[in-house]
Amino acid sequence: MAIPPAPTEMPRPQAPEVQAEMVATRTRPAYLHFLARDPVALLAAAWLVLLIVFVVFGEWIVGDAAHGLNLRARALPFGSTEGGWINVLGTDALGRSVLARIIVGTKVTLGIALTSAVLALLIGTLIGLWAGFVGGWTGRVIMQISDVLQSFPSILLAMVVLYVLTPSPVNLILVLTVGQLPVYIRVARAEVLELRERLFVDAARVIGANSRQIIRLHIAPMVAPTVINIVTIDFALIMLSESSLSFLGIGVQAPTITWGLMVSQGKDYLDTAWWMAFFPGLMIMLTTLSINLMANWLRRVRDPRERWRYERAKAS
Amino acid sequence: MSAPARESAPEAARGTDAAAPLLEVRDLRIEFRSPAQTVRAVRGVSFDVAPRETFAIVGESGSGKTVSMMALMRLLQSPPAHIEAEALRFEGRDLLTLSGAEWSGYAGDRIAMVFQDALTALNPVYTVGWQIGEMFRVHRDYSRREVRERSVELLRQVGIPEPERRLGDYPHQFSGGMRQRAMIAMAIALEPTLLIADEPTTALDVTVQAQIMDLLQRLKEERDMSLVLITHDLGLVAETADRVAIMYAGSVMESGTIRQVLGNPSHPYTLGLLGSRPQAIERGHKLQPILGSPPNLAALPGGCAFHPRCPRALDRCADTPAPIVRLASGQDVACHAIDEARLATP
Amino acid sequence: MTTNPPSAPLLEVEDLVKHFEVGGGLLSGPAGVVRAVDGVSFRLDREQTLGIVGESGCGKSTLARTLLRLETPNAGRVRFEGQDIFVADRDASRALNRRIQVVFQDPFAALSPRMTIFDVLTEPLRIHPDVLPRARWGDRVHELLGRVGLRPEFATRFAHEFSGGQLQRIGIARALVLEPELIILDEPVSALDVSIQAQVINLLEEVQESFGVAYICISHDLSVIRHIADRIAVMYLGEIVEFGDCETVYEHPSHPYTRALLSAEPEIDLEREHKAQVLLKGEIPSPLDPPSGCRFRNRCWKARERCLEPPPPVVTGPGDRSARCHFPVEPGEDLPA
Repeated sequence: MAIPPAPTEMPRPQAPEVQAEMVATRTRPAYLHFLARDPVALLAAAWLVLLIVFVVFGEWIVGDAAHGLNLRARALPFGSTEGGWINVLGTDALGRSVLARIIVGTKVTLGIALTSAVLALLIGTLIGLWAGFVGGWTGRVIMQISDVLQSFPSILLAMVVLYVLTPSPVNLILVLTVGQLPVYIRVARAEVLELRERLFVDAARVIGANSRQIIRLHIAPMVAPTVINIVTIDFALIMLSESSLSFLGIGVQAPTITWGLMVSQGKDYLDTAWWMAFFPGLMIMLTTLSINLMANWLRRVRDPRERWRYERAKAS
Repeated sequence: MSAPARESAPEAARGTDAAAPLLEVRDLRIEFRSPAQTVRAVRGVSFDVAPRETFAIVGESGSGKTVSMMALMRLLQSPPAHIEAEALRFEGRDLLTLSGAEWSGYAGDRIAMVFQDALTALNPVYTVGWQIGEMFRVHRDYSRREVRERSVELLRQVGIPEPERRLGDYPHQFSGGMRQRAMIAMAIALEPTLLIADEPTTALDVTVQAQIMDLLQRLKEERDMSLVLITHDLGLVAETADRVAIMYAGSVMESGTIRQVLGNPSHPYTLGLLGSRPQAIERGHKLQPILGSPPNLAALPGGCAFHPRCPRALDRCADTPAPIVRLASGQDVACHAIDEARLATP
Repeated sequence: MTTNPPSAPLLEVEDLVKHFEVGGGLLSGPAGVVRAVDGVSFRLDREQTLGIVGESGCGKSTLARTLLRLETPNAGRVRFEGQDIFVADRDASRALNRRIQVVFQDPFAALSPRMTIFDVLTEPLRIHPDVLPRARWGDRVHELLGRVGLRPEFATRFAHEFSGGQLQRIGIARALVLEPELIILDEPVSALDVSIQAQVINLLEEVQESFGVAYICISHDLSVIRHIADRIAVMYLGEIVEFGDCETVYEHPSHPYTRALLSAEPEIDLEREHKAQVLLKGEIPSPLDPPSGCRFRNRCWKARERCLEPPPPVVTGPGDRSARCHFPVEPGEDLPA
């Protein structure tokens, strides 16, 4: 091997910027692009967009078929084209199109479940954050109340409350929300207990931040992904709870349509006219699945540390 | 970026001992592969460890020093790790071709390893006595009484007071220095010929560090052991090692005896390490740091990995890997920019 | 607000004590008391650097946290420019937040991982909105990033994208946002690679020169302290056992512990065959149960009966040079073999 000559070339000077180069390079996130990269999330997003269309236009497009009685078209089976394509999923005991009822029912179903879920998330998390950060006796008392609440079977609680009050959508939302609070309180508090010992909390205190500011700037953004993950599962549970309550007659009342109510209305016909309960149930399942997938995608994309999965695919 | 040309197997600086080397490592290459990227942690590392010598491997985070030894001890999960080498020989025997069962005969018995943080390396739910006894139970056929006697004797040898009582204590009941001694006791229980110590004193106080290094030296001499010391502390190396290899970004930059490398440092990285120590500069003057940032092992620069930070970098350092050259003073250096006058005459 | 003549010290610590109670149950009371800081006193002048060295259990971290008011002391006083920092009213307390800042040891833990660097550096401005109008925040961030050697475009990145050395620079920038007069450095370079430590140390010195800030630097790394400190305090089990001008203490330590500590530090000296190293007996006693009298006596080679009495600080040199020892080490004294 040839012996390298003495360095006669000038060594390159080091620019001051070389002092601290970036370890990794990155550009601003392009969410739509990331969505396109994940076909499953894309499907889920499409489904949810479809549901939004149902919410906005459903009543207007298929309102008659959903509400109008048509006893001659009673219990038409799945796949029938009698009376038009609208009956392709069959009809119920009063001759109303299952498909139309599903479309129209989207609004109330999603409305109740979403409202309850979001309210439980916000209120429960706030309480949990405060209980965890302040600690001491306040924290303990809050946890005790939360535990008592959680030890009641929520359906029983709902039944009692709704029996006393009238079963209106607002009361229903109230009951469903309160029933779900303990989970968020507990989870938020647990996260905060760990986070408040961290060094960046000390750093914020030294800067002079008070408890409220620390929770808002540091703790809440770190607790958010966990509770958002919970709310997606919770959403499904709330939809099922609403279904049970409607089944018991203390939830949504006819002629309002929800998928849960349709399931309970169709349960008596499972062996003869299975489509009456099956398709609403399928809607519940697909919707909760889609929300779950979207929430997962959103969490990964927003978490700076997980985003590389999508960026890599983008670069290749 | 195409993979750089593999350097031909270099002549590592041989130990002073004329006998066959205890451990031979030739062209060790370790990659960590994942869908997102490939991290080349070790890129063609070669060295020898002679019997009864203390060999130090010096490097910072990302240098590959710990990963090399963990690969040797089969502690890396593969995948995602991919380990290849031209040769990996211990006492003449090729370690790469050993089966899992055959390797169990070596691990702990002939080659042992001591880690940086004894608290995480020791099992918290078993007593220290039980863990030392485990070494005997797995590899030897002693009676229960003999195991206990030997364990007590080991604790005494590593300087733990009241060894009979401490046998029944759990790791968290020991102080940092005592825990490290207990871990060393476990490692030397079966009288290995090679002890690998990965940053054994980094987590300890300076006064305890001195005690532990003293203990390791003493044990090495009493038991005819070789010691591989992985560290980032050049002072420690100067005081305790016989030979040293300086690693950066997965390659050996300079290797030789202590006198050669520390007395006559030649690689710009070695010079940078020595020069950036506060002890090297008089009070009131600015320190001389190595400029730039640590390398990104998933996206290494072409040619010599150190060239973006090197004050002597030439144009060819950016595209050609550095050749390993033997200096007149005796050590091996991987560098383009060595003055011709300093090279050994062929 | 007291007016201070320029010769008055910036910080005065008097007999500061901080205990922690450990163990015990809800009803049975504490099982023991850790006397983490047990009567610490010193003064610090403007633009001066005080180094505090010691090993684990000596109380230096607790001392730092107490000075930052993250802990409340059990006894003693701390005065910043004459103002007692633990009896400050709300306005004075907020002013103290601006004037005393911190750089923590672990740069990854000290910054909120989900915040951008812009958010990290503007947080102090958010908390103290009267310092700088919002329109000027961007300029301040860019200026600070430049001062610590980082490119201004880094402001939009997240904390986890940076290396340890870069994050520590950001930590230093954050400490400078409100232009404090005192910065407490808690092991500022211990978590960094050796080749990066020197960069950050240089930066700290530059910052001191251009911003005119005083430092209290806590470290177990003697070589770092030797380089940057004007004065040094050596701590052992909650007490300052030696204090004085940094260089003098390093050259001629008076306290036996300091002597042992200095000799334990590894050095590169190929000429010397065998270093005169003092190997101390045993380990640091538990802070729950320190020895009576002089806390160092059970490891000290000079210990005699007199050491059962707690030694008072003895002046061992000009200025504020002192050591807590009945038998301070004389220059040229023989050491144990």
